[in-house]
Amino acid sequence: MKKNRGLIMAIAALVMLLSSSGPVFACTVEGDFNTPGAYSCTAEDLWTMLEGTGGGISQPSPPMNPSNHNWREGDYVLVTGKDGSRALYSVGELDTNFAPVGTGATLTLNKKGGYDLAGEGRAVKDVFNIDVVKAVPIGKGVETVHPFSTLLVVSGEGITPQTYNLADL
Amino acid sequence: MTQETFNASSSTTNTNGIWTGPTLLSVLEASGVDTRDMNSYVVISATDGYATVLSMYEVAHKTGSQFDLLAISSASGTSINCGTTCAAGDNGFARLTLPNDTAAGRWVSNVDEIVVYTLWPNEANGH
Repeated sequence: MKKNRGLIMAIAALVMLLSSSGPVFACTVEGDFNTPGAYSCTAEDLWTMLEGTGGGISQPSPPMNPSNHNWREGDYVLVTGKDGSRALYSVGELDTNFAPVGTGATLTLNKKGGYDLAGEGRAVKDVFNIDVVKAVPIGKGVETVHPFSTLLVVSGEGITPQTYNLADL
Repeated sequence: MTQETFNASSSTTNTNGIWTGPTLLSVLEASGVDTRDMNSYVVISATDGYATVLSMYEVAHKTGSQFDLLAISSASGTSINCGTTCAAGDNGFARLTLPNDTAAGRWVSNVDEIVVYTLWPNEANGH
């Protein structure tokens, strides 16, 4: 029994070591993961960290074609610093299935002992929270009635909805 | 609107070719959207329920020399702007094309809705 316990602990330690390629720091990562929870951040490439957290960003069953269409396209990632600064990435621009080059967004140690995010035009000092948010459900062909589009509507908070047809574009 | 052209030579087979249309950025600007607010994101949806999310950063900045386009014509033979002759697999009158997405998974055919969401200034996270 003791032997088994020791073996389990050794395996658990090895898994933790392998699953965390950067140092853990005082920061929480949470949100739309396959195994929801609050996890520690690790100082490494942002996408690598997200892939290694909570079983990866949520991919409900049945899966869509993971290399082309997948549920993660409906998510965004919000990185927040202690000073309130934020950086917003769509998952699609981080996910190397879609963007082979990625964004280069990486968490690195700063001179004050905190960890900063930098990459692809966005930066956050002293990161303390990373949240993966499901913004919209993705469902190719979910709607039973799907006529071909002949116009589109642009809307959002603070703007008057605008309708465009082919001639407008 | 000003038309731009995107040669999708490195994308999947049903997206390869030359696509032309206004940039998504120009359509948002024409609609009065504050495209300088990088704490906002854009949901582009299609008539079949498909959708994708873009950060405002990726809408407002080029990948290489190319902005994201709302393509309304194609020189590749892929049907777009098909009017009453649309058939299965057609793209409706507008298709989102993303130079940053060589898998073309985030390309959206039959675009019918674009919604811009802005995070509150003091919103600690997305919840």
